[in-house]
Amino acid sequence: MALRDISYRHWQGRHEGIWHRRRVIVEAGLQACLQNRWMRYLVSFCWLTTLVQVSVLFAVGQFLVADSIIVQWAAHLNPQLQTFVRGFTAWLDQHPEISVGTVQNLLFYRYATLLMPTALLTVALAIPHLVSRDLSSNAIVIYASKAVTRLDYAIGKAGVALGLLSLTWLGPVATAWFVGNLLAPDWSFFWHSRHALGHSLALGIVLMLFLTVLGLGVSAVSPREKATVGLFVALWLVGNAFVPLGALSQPWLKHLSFQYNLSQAALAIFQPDRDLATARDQVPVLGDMLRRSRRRPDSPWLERSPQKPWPALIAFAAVATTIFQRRTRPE
Amino acid sequence: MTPIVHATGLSQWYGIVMGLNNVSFEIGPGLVGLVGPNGAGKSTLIQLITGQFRPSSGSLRVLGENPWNNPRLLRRIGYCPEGESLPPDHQPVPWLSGLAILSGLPPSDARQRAETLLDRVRLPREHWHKRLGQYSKGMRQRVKLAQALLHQPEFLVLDEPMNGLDPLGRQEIAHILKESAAQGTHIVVSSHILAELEALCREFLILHWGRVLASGSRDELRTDVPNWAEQLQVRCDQPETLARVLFDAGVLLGFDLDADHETLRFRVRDPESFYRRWLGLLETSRVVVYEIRSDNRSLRQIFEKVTA
Repeated sequence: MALRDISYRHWQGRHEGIWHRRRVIVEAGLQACLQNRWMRYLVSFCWLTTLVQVSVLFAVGQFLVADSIIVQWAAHLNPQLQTFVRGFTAWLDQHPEISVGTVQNLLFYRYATLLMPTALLTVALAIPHLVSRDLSSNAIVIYASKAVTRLDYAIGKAGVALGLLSLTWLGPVATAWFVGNLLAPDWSFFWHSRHALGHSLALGIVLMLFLTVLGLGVSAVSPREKATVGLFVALWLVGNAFVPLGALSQPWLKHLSFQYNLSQAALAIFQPDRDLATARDQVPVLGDMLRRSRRRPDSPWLERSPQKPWPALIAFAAVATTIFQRRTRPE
Repeated sequence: MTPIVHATGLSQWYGIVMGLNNVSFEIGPGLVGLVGPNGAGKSTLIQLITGQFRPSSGSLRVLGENPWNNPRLLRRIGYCPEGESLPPDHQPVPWLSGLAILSGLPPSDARQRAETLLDRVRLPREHWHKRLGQYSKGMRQRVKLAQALLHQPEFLVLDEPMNGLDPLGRQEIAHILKESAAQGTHIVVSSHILAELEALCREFLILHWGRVLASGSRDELRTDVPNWAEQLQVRCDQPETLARVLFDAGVLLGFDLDADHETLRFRVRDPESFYRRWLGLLETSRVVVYEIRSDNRSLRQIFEKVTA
C-alpha cells in the first residue's frame, strides 16, 4: 500500500477559542429554555416586580423631600400630621444612613426573598434543558466527541442556569436598585444604599451558584424530563414540609429544606433584625411603635436559626455535583 | 507507514465486565473495517479512540496523541456514534452550526459548513426546517454523518453508520466515505453487515470477546488462518472428469460432486501452489467451464474461520 500523507489538514480558516465554544453551549441552552412560553412569562413577571420595587423606592425617597407630592398629600390629611411629617422628614434627612441605608437594606431583603420562589421556578423550568435532554437523546455522546472537555460542557450548562437566574433574579434586583436610586431626590442615595446592593449581590452569588449546581445535579439524575422536574419540585416541597416539623421537634430537620437554607442565608447576609433594632432605637415615634409591637416572628422562616445554613447548602451542592459528574461521565 | 491508531496492552473494564482485554494493534491509514459480533468490543474500542473513555490500562495513541480529555485531538477527529444521538427538538442547520463552533469553526463559516454538509449527505432541503425528532431513521443517520464530517476531520470514526438506511442510502453513504478516503481522510468503520464492509474497506480488524484476533487485508487475514482450506465451486460440462484430474494431481482435501447441476465443490490443500497449477489442470481435464466461485474468500467466511 502506498504511503499516505497524514499531515494535519484540518479546517484552514480561523479557530475560535475555548470561551467562545463555551459561550455557544450557553447561548444554545438559553435559546432552548426561552422557547418555553412559561419561562418567558416568568421572566416578564420578574421584570414587572422590578417596576413595583422601583415605585416603592421612589415613594420612600419622596419622604425625604419636604415639598414632594407624597409629603404634601400626607400633610393635608390632618394638620397635626403635618407637623409630625415635617419633623420626621427633617430627621430622616439628617440621618441618611438610616433613612436610606437601613430602609433600602430592609426593602431589598424583602424583594430578594420574595423573588426567591421565582428563582426556584426558573430552575424547575430549565431542568429539562440542562442535562436531561442531552441524556435522553444521547446527544451528550456527540458533544463529548467535539473539541470540548466535560469541564467545558459543565461550564456551558452552568452558564445556562446562571444566565436564566440573572434574567429572573439578579437582573431585576440590580436594576431595581439602580433605577430606584436614579429616581431618588439625591445622588447620595447611591452611596447610602451601597450595603443593600452589596448584600443583594452577595445573596445573588450564593443563591445562583447553589441553584445552578442543584439544577445540574437534579437534571442529570434521569434522562426523563418529567422525572427530573418532579424530583426538583419534590425536593423543594417535601423539604419545605420539614420546616414547621423542625420548629416543633428537631431543629436540624428545617435544614432539609434548601429553600429554608437559602432564606437563612438571606437573613445572615442582610441581617434585617439589626436594621429593625436600629429603627427601634433611633427613629423617633416610629421606633416607639416598633418597640410596642415587639414580638418574636410567627414564622420559622423569618427566625434566625442557631445553626448556620452553610453546611446544609454545601452538602446539597456536594451531592448534586457528585450526581452530575457520575451521570455525565461516558459509560 | 505511520499508524493512525497504536494500542499497546489496551484494556477496558466496566466493573467486572470486560470490554477490551489487553489488546495490542495498529490501524493504518485508509479505510479500515472493524469486524466483530455484538459484545466483541467494537464500540468500546471506538469510544476509546474518540476519547470517550479513559483506558483501564495500557496505552493508546491516535494520530500520535493520547485521545483522553484531549480537545486538540478531538478537533481532528469526526465521530458518528452507533445509537440515537440527535436532540429531537432542534433543527439540523442551527444544531450543526453549533457543533461546528464547538469544533472551533468561526460562526460566520459554521452555518455555511452545516448547509454544505447537509447537501453532501443528501438530506433534501425541504426537510431542513423540520425538527430532528420528525426525521426518519435514515435521515437522522445522514445528519449524524454530517456532524462527523462537519469540521473536515483528518480521522473519521463511524460506528454502524449504515444502520437504518435503505439500500440506496447505504450506497450513497458508502460513496461519501470512499470519496472522503480518496481525499485523504482516514476512516475506521464498524458494521455487522460484513458484505458492506467488504465492499468498502481494504483492511480489517477482527475483534471477538474483547480480543483482537486478526488484522490486515483480506488476503493477509486468510494466510494468517491456520489450516486454511480454499474452497471452490466449479460448474462445468464434466465435473467427474475435473474431480479425477484434481484428485490425481494431489491438490484436493475433499470434494462434493453434484452431477445434476454440473457442479463440483472442492477444498484445496495449499491455495498458493494450487492456483499456480490451476490453469494447467483445467487444460489437462479438457472440461468446458461455465462458472468458478470461491465462496470462502468472503469476509464472512474469513471471520467465521478466525473466530472459530
